[in-house]
Amino acid sequence: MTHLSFLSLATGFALVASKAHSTTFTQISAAQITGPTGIAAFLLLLIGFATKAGLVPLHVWLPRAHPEAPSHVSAVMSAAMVKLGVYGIILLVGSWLPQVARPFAILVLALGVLSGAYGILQASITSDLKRLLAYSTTENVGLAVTAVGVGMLLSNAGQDAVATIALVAALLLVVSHAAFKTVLFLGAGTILHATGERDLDRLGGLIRSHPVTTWTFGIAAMGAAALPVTSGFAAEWTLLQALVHGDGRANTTLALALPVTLGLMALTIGLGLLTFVKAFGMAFLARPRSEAAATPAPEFTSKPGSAAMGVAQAIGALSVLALGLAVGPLATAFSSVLGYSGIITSELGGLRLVTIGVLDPYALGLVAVGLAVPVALLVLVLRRRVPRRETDLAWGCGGVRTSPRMEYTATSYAEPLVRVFGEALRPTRSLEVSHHAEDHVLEHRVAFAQEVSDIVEDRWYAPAAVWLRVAGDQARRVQNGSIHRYLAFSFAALVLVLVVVTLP
Amino acid sequence: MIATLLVVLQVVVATAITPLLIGVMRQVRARLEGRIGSGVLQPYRDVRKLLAKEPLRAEGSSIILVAAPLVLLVSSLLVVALVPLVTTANIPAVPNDLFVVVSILLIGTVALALLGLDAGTAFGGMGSSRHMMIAALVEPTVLMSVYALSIPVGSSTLSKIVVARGADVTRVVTPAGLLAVVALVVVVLAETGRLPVDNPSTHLELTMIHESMILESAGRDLAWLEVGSWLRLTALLGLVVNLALPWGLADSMQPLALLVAVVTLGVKLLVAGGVIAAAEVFMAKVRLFKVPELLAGSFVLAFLAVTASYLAG
Repeated sequence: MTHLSFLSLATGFALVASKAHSTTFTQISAAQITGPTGIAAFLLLLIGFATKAGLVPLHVWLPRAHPEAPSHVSAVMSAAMVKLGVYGIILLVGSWLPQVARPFAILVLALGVLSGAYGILQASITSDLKRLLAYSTTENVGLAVTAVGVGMLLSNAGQDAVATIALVAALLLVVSHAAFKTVLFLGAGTILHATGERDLDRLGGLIRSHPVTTWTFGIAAMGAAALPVTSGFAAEWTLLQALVHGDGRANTTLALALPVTLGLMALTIGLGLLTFVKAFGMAFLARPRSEAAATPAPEFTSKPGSAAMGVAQAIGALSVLALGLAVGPLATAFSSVLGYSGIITSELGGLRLVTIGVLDPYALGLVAVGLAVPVALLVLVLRRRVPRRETDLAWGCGGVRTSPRMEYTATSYAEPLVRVFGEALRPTRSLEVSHHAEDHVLEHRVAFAQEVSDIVEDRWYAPAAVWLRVAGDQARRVQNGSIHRYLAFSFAALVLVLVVVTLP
Repeated sequence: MIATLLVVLQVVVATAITPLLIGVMRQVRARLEGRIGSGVLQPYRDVRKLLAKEPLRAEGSSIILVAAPLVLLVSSLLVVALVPLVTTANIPAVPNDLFVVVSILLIGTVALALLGLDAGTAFGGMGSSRHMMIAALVEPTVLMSVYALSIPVGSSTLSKIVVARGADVTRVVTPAGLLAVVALVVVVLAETGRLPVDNPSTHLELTMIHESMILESAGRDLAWLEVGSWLRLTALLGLVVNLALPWGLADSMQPLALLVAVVTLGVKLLVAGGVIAAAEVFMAKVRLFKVPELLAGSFVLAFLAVTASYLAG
């Protein structure tokens, strides 16, 4: 995939550079390239950057590469490297080829929306923690590109103010994703270190042995699930406001694209919530589901220097919260970079979209605290009057505590989703029932297996790989080892180049 | 300042009336089913009883067991403070933006789901999984109805929407407005665990969603969970009735206006609750895997509402 991406980027840049007679970004923007060259260059560069960003259907490298890399490397890959793709797309549609890009707004939007929904759907059903995080990266990048696409579509319809808000939302999404995904990958790494497991089906109960990882992962998961008052929430709120304030009466495309985008984005948000409840709940809560999870290595003390990991996680989690609290100044800075004055910092330091609304995490927090105080007082009084009692079993229903195998696992948690989205996911199931020899009514063993693979990979890439192999076999005929034939090829190529160059 | 006082008043009134609402709903249901019922004041007695009982903490459970009920309660109180129930006034720095309200509801949803997972029982996990699936699938309908309601007003701020609808009766009966409210009703039923999505009075663990997540809680933990879930019902039902009948809300400290607002809210809520309870008697819970179809249907309604308001506007 890297080669494919490089190939399309190199060709795209070659096309642009040949027209602009320069390779600097300013010259390329100034050249105002249009026509067939512009379109070809735009599509090639879009493919290149979309591959780098891990957008569906060019995402297949991401869920394979991220789980295998060491976790801190995954963190860098997910938090910073894929963002280069987003950066490229923003430059492409905003600066290099904006005049070509406009008609392709729907394409960019579709790439973003589909990546968001497909990425999170895959993330919600996988039980491999790092694979889950990798797919969630596709989702988040998809949301950022959705915001870019919405911005393009709106500016195409002449609604530049709202378009800029969408673009600011894209930048907020990128920044907040970098913060929380770093913590999540570091947390996954700590879990892997402690238990040797990254399969959520075999984890559990780490809240007792790994408190720092639990809380940092929890805060980051809140950011990933876009709950207030994290940065993820502020970013998605901004994008939603841009969506509902775009005027769909302008044209039919907009009247359809805006609600469809909102619907799919809402599904993405909803599934994201489920995904991170599952990831957090399965890894840290309940009872250990395997021997390794029951006897984890102690947190941050198993190796010299691993305390630094705890510090890194804590810094990351704090920055998730800080970005959520500082969203006002941050968004103001982004919007002033874009030359837009419609986003300002509100009185208490929140985010105000002039004429649209205000999101003030401090004020919201104050109201919440104001409501929590009477509740807390009541709890304090009651705690003195009726103390809590520890028991070994509060409510058992058939002695469920006898075996951790009776617990819900990550796979069973996502089972309803696999059923609901069965058409889109196409799981392969097998059910084998063997009966007792003496009586066919009695069942001896029941074996059930279910596997959900990436349908894009199976349906598109597998056939493509077959074709490539066939083409490669055919191409080998050309290469028969005769030096004469190779010389003839060189001569033919030279003639061809000369003919092309001499053409007007 | 006045806005803050009004909001405080709203929280107090709504919290006080909530057990009555639940009591009325249970009583209506009991009478229609031919039972005498335990009286409309039973929920108050239930809460008092639970608060006096000893909370248990099972071995292997974590801080979530204690924290989740409180998070649910505070998030529900916050929603009650934000949604226009008694007053259309709101604290200037915290406008009752519908997207914010929805996300605060989600905090409560997540708290409940984690509580279900915490003890590590099979039923808790099952309830949590189903609860999150429904929450995830409800989300598109919620945001789409928000969208539909916000288009004619040009704002997703709830009190502006309610005021605009109240000022112009024709807005309430537009096809778009009606469709959005109907979609929102389905959302409210799903979010608050009413029939046909979840049966609030079931005793069969396998069919439970909400109840199976709170099986492990006792004493005041259970009381917070109950009150928190009831408050969600009050807030969401109150929101729907105020969108459908956007009159009677107070926007100042005038005693008469306040009295009218409180009484209207009480009447609207109790009547709507009674209607829902009566309808539930004649309704069966749908199979879990039919719920997505119901939600998809309501999503289509909300989507139509959006396109209708663009095309008709």
